[in-house]
Amino acid sequence: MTSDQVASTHSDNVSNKVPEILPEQLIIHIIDDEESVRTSCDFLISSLGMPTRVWSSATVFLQQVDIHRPAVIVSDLMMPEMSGQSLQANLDKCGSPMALIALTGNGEIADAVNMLKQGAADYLEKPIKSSRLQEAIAYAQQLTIKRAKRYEIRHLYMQLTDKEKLVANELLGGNLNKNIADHLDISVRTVEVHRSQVMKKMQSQHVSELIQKLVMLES
Amino acid sequence: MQVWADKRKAKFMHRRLKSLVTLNAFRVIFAALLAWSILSKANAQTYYLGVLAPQGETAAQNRWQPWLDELNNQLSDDTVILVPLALENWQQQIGAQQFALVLGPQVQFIKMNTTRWRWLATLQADTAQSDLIAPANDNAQSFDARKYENQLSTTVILANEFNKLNERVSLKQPSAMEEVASALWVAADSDIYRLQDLQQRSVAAVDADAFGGYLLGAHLLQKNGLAPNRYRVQFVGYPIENTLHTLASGKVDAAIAPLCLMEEMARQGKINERQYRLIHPVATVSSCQSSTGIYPNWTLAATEQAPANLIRQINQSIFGVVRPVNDKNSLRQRWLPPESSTDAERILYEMNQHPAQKPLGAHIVDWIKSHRLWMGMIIFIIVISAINYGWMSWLAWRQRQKILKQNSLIRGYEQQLRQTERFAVIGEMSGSIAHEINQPLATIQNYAQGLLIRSQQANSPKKADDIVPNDNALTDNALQQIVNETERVAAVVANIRSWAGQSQANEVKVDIAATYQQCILLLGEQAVGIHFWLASDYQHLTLPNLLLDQLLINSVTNAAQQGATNILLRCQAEEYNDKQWLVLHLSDDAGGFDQAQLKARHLPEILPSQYATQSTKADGLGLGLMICQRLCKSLGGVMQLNNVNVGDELDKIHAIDGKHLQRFKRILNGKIQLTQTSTAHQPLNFIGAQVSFYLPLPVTDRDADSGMSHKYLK
Repeated sequence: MTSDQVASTHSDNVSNKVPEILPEQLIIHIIDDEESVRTSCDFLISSLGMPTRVWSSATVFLQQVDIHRPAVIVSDLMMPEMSGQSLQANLDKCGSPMALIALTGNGEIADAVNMLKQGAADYLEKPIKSSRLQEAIAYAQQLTIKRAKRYEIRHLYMQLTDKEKLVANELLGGNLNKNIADHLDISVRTVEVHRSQVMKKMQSQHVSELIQKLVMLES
Repeated sequence: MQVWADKRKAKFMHRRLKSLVTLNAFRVIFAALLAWSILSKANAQTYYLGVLAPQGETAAQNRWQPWLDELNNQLSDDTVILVPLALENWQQQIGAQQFALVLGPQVQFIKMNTTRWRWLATLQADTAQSDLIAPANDNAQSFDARKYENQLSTTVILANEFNKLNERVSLKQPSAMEEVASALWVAADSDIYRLQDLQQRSVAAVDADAFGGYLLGAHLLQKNGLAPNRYRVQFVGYPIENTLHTLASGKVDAAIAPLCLMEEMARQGKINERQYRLIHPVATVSSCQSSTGIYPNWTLAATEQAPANLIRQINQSIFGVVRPVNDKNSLRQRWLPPESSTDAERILYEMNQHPAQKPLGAHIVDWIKSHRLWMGMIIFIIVISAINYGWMSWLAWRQRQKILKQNSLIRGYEQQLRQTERFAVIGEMSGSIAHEINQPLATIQNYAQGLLIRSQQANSPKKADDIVPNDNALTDNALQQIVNETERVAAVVANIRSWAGQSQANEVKVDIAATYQQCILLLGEQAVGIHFWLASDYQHLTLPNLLLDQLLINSVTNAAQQGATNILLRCQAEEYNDKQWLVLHLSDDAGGFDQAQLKARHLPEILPSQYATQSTKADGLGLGLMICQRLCKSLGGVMQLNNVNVGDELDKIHAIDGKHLQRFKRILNGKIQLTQTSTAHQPLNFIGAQVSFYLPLPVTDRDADSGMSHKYLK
C-alpha cells in the first residue's frame, strides 16, 4: 500500500480531526495586469459559483493575502512587475499551499512546463474554455486542500523533539515498543513515554492515524 | 793517231749536237709563237655595256650604238656589246655583275654599291653658246651666258672651250638622254603660273626614282614650300614621253619632264610645243628650257668585271685619239674626265632618298650595337622588372580574387542575415499582432461563457442557493465589455491594414542623380559591365522618404537580373489621361517583356507566387515590381510596362537638356567607383523593357538656373 493510497483511505478520518476545508469555500484569486481580462475572468468564474478576488499585480497580492491559507490562484504569466513564474517561485519558497493556474496568452509552453515543475497546478491558454477552466480549478482546489493538510501536519511534526521524531519514525516502520527500545538503546518505558507524547502532539487518537499523517508528510 | 781521230770525232759530234740544239730551239720558239698567236685569238673577250634606256630600248640603241661601234673598232680584240636597261630593273641587272661597263646618269649610280668601280668619263653637256636660248615664256629675258658660267664645273667649261677651239662643228640637236634637269610643263592656257599654284593639283612624273623626271622637280617644289603631300603626284612610268603624253591628255594639271624632252618630242612631231608653257624657267647653258639647274651628265664607269687592258683601251679611245674634224661620230660624244656627284647627292639628301640616309630604325640598331653592354643591362633590368611586375600583378590578382570571394561570401551571409532578420521581425510582429488580438478575444470569450453559464443555470432546476443570481446590471456590463473588446479587435485590424497599406514616411527633398548613383552602388557586383544613363528635366523631387530609392532599386535590379547592358532613366513631365504627371521611365536593353506579361496588365495576377523575390521572364515579374506598383499607387500614381526601341529611348535621352545628362559606368579597379563617361555603347538588343512610374508629385525645381522652383504638377 502506497502512502497516497493510505492517505486517500483515511482521508475521512483526518478530516474529522482537522477543520475540514470545503472546495466551494476556497477563494479564487485572479491576478492579471490587464483589466479587461481580469474582470472577464472574474465574471466567468463568478458565474461558476466560486468566490473570487481580483488583483492587478502579483506584488499587491503577496502583500495583502495570507499565502499560508489554501486558495486557488488564476494568474497571467506575462505581467510587468512580477511575472507568474516569479509568483510561483515565491509561493514555493514560502511553503504556501496555494495552487496556481497559469494563463498564457502567447502559448509560452516552456514557461508553462517550468511552472508545472515548480508546483503550479495547471496552465491554460487564452482564450479560456469554461469547461477546461472548471476542471483546472477543481484540480487546484483539491491540490491546495491537500497542501494545506500537509502544511498543518508538518507544523505538528515540527513540535516533536528529536527523540520523539525517532520514535515516530520507528512507529512508521511498524516496530513494536520492545523493538524500538532495542533500536534506540533505551528502555521500553521510555519508549512508551515518547510514544504518548508523539500521539498527543500529532493530535492522533491511535497509531494508524499517526502513521497516516506521517505518510502524508513524507509524500 | 787514234787519239787525234778520236778528238776529231768528238769535235764533230759536238758540232752536230750543237746544231741539233739550235734547230730544236727554233722549233720551240716557232711553236711558242704559233701557240701565242692562237691563244691571243682565243683570249679575245666579249664585254657588255649596260646603258640606261629611259626612252626605250630602240632609242638607246640608236643613240649609243654608233659610238660603241667606233669604240669596238679601236679595241684590239675585245668586243663590247650594248645592252639597254630600263630604270625599273637597272639596279638589279647591274647588281648581277654581268656588265663590265655601265653608262647612265651619275645620280643613278649613287644608289648602287660602286666600291670597286672606276669612273672613266662624263659625257659633255651640250653647251653651245649660240644655242643658249632664253626661256620661252613671257617672263623670259635674254641673258649672258657668262653670267651662268659659275653654274658649270670647271671641267665642263674647259671641255667646252676645248671642243670649240678644236672642233668648231655645228652643234647637234639636244636630247633628253644627255642632260639632267627637270622642266615643269603646264598647258599654255592653264591658270598655273607659279610653283605655288600647283598646290592640290595633279602632277605627272616619270618615276619616284627618276632624277630628272621627278626628283629635281620635286626638290624644286619642296624648296618653294610645296612638300610632296601638298600636290598629287601621278607616276606614269617609262618611257619618259609618258609624262608629257599624260599632260597632253588633260589627265593632269602639270608634268615634270626631263630636260629637253619637250624639245625632242616636238622635233619628232609627237607634241606641239606651243600648246605648253614652262613654269619657273631658269637660264642654263642648255639649249632646252629648264625649271632647274643642270646636273652632272651621264657617266661611263667600269665595274670589277672590266680588265685593266680594256679600261686602258677605252681611255685611249675616249681621250687619247684626236678625231678628225669631219668625223660625224665624234660629234655625237664628247667625253670629259669624271665629274663629281656632290650636287646630285645633295639633292638626294634633301629629298631623303640618299642611300647613306639610313632609316631611323637602322640608326637605332647601330646605336644599340655600339652600346650593347649597356643596352643588355637595361633590357635585363626591364625584363626583371617586367617579370617582377607580372609576378606582383599575379599576386595582387590572386589576392583580389580571394578578397572578392570573401566579399561574395560576406555578402551572401549578410543577405541571409537580412533575410533572417526580416523573418524575425515578421515573427515578432506577428506575435505582437496575435497578442493584441488574443487579449480582446479572451475577454470576449470569458464574458460570453460567463453569460452562457448564468443563462444555463437560470434555466436549470437546481436549488435557488446554487444559482448565481442573474443580475441584469452584470449582464449588461458583460455585454458592453464584449462590444468594447470587439471594437478593440477591429481597431487593431484597422491599424495593421493602415500600417501595411500606406507609408507614413515624411516627405523629403531627394536628388534624383544621387539616388540613382546610390542604387547603382547597391547593385554590387551585378552593376559591373552595365552602362547607366540618366537624363532628367529636374534635379530634385519632393516625395516620401526612401520611396524613390525603392522604385529605382527594384526596377534597376530587375533590369540587371535580365542581363541588361544599358539601363536608362529618363525623368520628364508628361501628359497622361488629360493630366500632367511627373514620369520616371526606366528602360533597359535586355530584350523586353514577354507579350504574355504585357497582356496581363495586373501585376499580382502574373506573379508566380507570393514568395517570388526576383523576376524572371519565365515566372513573371516578381515581388519587386509588385512593390513598385503598390508604392506608386500609394502616391496616387500609375505604373506601366512597355516594350520600347532602345535607340529611340537613347535619342530621347540625348534630346533632354544636356546639363543634367549623365552617364555612369561602374568599374572594378581595386575599389568600386562610378565614373562619368561620354563614350557611346552599343545596345545589347534593339528592344528593351520599360517601366514607367507616373507620379502626381510636386517638383522641387525645374532648373537650378531658371529659378522655377517648387513647380507643382497636377
